[in-house]
Amino acid sequence: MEYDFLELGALLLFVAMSGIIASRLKFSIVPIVIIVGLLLPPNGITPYHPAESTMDAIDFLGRLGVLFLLFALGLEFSIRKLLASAGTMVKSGLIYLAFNATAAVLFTMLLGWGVEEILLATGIIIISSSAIVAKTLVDLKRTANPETEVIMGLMLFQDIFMAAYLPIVSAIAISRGGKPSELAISVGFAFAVIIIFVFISLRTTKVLESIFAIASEETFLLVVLALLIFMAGASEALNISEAIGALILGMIMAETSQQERIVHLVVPFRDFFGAAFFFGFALKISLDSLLGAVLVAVIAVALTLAGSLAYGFTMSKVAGISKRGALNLGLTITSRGEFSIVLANLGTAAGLSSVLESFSVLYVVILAVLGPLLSRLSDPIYQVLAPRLGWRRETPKSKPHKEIDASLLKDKKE
Amino acid sequence: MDFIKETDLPGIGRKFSASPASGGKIIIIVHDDGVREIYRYDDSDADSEVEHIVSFDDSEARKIAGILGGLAYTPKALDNARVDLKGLAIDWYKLTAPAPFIGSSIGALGIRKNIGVSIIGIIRHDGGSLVNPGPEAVLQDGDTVVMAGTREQINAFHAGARGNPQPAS
Repeated sequence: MEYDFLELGALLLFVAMSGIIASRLKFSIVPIVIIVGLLLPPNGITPYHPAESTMDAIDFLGRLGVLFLLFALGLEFSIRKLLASAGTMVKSGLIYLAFNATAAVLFTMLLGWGVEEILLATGIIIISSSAIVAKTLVDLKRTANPETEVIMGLMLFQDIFMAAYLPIVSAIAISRGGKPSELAISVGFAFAVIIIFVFISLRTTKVLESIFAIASEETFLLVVLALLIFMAGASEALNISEAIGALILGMIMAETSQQERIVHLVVPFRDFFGAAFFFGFALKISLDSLLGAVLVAVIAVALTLAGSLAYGFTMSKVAGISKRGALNLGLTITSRGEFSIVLANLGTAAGLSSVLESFSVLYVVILAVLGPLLSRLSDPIYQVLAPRLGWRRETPKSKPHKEIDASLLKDKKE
Repeated sequence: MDFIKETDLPGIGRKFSASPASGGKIIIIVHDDGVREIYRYDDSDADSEVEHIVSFDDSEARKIAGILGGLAYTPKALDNARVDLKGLAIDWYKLTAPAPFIGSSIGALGIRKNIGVSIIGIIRHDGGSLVNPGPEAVLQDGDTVVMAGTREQINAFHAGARGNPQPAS
């Protein structure tokens, strides 16, 4: 085709349209853009085939999308901050894994999947979409609820889990078919690179600060983007996945005082290239292959709901949250999205069974829609369940009129 | 017990729970995008719902903060010069020539960056006032500058305005 941009532009118009639909429906763009991608060529309902150069371009935009998604993930957590809240988070995170990772591993083992597929599917199943979860909580005005602290703590735990899990998975993807010893070496190598980089960056905060103290927005943007692409390339050259490079750079920059500025700058890029990534991922999946994965995806959704609720009610005991809060907690964390697709994409790149990508697409589309919906419905569900399960509303204690304690007031004034 | 309890809500913002001596519980959520939400919560009833009262955008929130802090109208009973809240303070300083800050804009002085205090209002010498001035606002002779920050930062501002700057921290 002579028109390089016409086809690409037309496809991107569909991405934009997905965005419009998503904001009208008040959903995340992730499930909508995936559905639109599934319906479009080359494998969708029309026989039209885009030129190879167009597909390559979409692919490249998508790869940039993965870089920006992981860069933004890395920016979200500063090591210093994490260490401060590690104790409570780890306990809650381990309870979450105990229910959900166990269920995911057992289920995929029962399906007779290979070890690599099981490992990847477990990540796809257990990682919530922190973006959808945070947005749901803000939309529903639940940010002040007691359970929200637990939810956002869990999201942070999952982010860390993702950062530790991604090198393992990508090493497996890269050294696929190799001996277990080679595998162990490449996993160890990936971790060593991360640890070295993060350690150096913690030690050289002053140098980093002076490098990033750039007043001009234009120059700052150029430096950040160039560093991002270069880090991705460097980690590619070191034979650890490009995504890890982006993650490391994000973690390094999270330690500097420019963190907020970079987040601000990167979010539009993440949103655009990320949407292109989800779209391109769905574009390559044929509708026929989806049929074979329906049952698996539906069972996985049921397991996720059960595991999340079990976690919610366990945490309500641990953290002293009401039954209503436990229900909110369990239902809200079921949303899945961006990171499940990033993981599935790694599986595709590694040539794992294509059932994995059809499964993950269905699983994410279902839970990216169902998760926020269930969170919204959690109140009516509570009203129905509460009398049946004997969660009697605690009779409001008769509140004696509280006299203003004069001595307390004096205290406050200091 | 502390009057105000702070918790991080990673990915959303920061949560402040206040339990006034007069009873009940107020929760303020400061979102990362600048929105402030105020909720009411009855902590004597474990099953009660958290009730959303009001949301403010950033500039509205600053104006409300000024009223609560006694800047717009000082309650007659409290005639103390500065408001102190656990290390955080609101204070004001009258600039008189030849204070080095006179004639420069807030942005050019880099007050938030260099000293750390936020200027939340300026009362002009002619009695006019500027709530939540932007970086372009120029400080003039006779202005009363209203600022918020830690005690150290406020002291640093005073020192700077007197012409003997010292580091903020």
